[in-house]
Amino acid sequence: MRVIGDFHIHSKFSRATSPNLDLKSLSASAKIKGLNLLGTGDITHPKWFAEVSKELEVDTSGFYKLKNRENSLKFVPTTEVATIFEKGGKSRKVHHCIILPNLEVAEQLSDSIGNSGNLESDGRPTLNMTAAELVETVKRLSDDAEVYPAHAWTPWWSVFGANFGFDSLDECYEDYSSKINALETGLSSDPPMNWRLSSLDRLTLLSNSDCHSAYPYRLGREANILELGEFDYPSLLDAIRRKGSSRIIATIETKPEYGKYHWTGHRNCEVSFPAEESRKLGGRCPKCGRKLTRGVEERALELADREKGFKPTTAADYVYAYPLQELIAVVVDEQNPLSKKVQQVYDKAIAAFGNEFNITLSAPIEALKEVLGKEIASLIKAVRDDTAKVIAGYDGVYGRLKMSNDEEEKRLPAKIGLDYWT
Amino acid sequence: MVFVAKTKTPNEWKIVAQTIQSLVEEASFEGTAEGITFRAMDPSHVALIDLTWPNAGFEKYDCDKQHKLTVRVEDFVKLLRRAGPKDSVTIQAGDDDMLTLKFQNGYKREFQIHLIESTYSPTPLPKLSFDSKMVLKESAFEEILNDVQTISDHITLEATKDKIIFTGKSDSGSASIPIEKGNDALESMEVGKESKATYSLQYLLNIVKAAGGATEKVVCEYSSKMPLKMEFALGETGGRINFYLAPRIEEK
Repeated sequence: MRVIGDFHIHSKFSRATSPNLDLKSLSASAKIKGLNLLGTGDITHPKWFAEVSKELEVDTSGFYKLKNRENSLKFVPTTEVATIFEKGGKSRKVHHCIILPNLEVAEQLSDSIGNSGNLESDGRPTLNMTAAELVETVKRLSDDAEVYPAHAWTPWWSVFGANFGFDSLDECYEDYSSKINALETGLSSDPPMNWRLSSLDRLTLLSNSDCHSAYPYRLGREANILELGEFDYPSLLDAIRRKGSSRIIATIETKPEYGKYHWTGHRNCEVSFPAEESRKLGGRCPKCGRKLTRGVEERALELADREKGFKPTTAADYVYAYPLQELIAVVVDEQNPLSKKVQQVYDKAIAAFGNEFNITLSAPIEALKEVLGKEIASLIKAVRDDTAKVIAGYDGVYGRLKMSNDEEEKRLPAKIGLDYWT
Repeated sequence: MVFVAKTKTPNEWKIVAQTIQSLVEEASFEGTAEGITFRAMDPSHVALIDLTWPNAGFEKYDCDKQHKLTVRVEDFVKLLRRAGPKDSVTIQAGDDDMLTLKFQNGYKREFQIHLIESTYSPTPLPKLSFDSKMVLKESAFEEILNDVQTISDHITLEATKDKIIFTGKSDSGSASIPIEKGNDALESMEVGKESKATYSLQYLLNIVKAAGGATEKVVCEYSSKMPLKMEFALGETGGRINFYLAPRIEEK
């Protein structure tokens, strides 16, 4: 059975998240998006746990659904936690995703980690324990739980992060490294970048949204396409662990340039550089002289042990797709993907094609042209074909998609300085 | 080998130094018999300053051959800050790789800083022709930039036959300031072809705040999606500070 899942989201109880992040909004947006399976996110937050327990009920699959709702979206208990610890004389800060088999284990997890951090202060709690201790704690509660590195390459909070991360999974998770079965690539990297590290071959690469609001341009902006033997929790585990017949068959990716940390750069000085240029600069901002925030591209190249283009035989496929509201916003020249102008077109598109993934992933381009016009259809095609242009994100600034057929674009280079006119 | 340039007050030097400081850390002034020039781009090559200060703009000017005077701008600005508003300023260089600054108003104060090895390569000017030109009151222009900055990091200039509209937008909202021909803020305007382009406000504000102090008006020239050129008079010296800024082209 074909399922599209997003296993890393947040609730309204995480810091810097939208107040609309409740179960009903998430369900409504997931339906519009075309998602069938959603992580609850933030399950160790007491208030969110209470809401989830009150509004969801377990169904025969072992997943959860909204009470008294037929054809409800299915939920699986998940959370993200941050661990801060010292290793090798350095401070380490790593985010991890956790998938749990049920709410009982979730409750036990809260009890177990409650002494290591304040679970009430943030849906994504910060824990004073090592990464290995975290895996040990989770696995002691249930061997059916999964812990895996979140957005594995981002500079500040990740397993391979340039600032507080490690050079290998083994260094981070120590004796529990073998218990790690997956890795979240994050917005700023895509599977081909990760395939260049032979040490990651044994891991299932996952892509999730890490959304901080329930809007469809955030929820499921990256997701996983699964082929499950049964639409149940054991099959999900099999897919992640590559056992039985269930598999992650593809991940839905934005281009890595879209992510906030793809290139190396300095946000305050508005400068950014691909890895090659950054190295020439010695990692220093040419404007202010301060240290540049090393991007995911540069960091992944640093740890790569294979040439570009290598694909492991066990690897799942990937497809590029962009949030449709953002695509429309580019075409209608709106900065806000939630503006009325964008929403009118978006609603028309959803009414015609059922959900967003039908539009961005599979609808025939000719059919899209008829409903959405030539420009939007062409941009969707360009994203699918990987010919769309993206200005790379850096140091917390999101990348930006550009019209690929814009005449001005043909005339001007993407990154433009006065040299162009000299 | 002699280079001597004297001004009645430190005002022009302060404006020049602060303008340069907004873009680069080192400044290579070129002194010739005709006067002083300076040209440099910021490290990201988004903005360029082109200064010309003719010898007639100095109270005393003496230069026997071509001199390249490279200083750390921060040091230079720090020294100039010590000059009182009525101090005359004499800048002098010889064969000893030192730059001498003399301030005099009653008694004389003399400072020396080391000239440094220049790391800058020659900077060519962008080759441009402009569709729109407007002369704006400097104080009004600075106000407009400050207004738009409350909403956005960027400003869009849209010139039509009879008006120029300054706009900015971001997720938080939008700002729009139309100035029509005949308004006191707009001294003159020539639009050969309607023009629309977007520029970084941070660069613009830095430069207008620094270079605008010596003049009451600023001349802006640009074309759609092309660099902006701004010209500031350097007081009554006959000198000019030209500033070029690359457009933002991130929108479609």
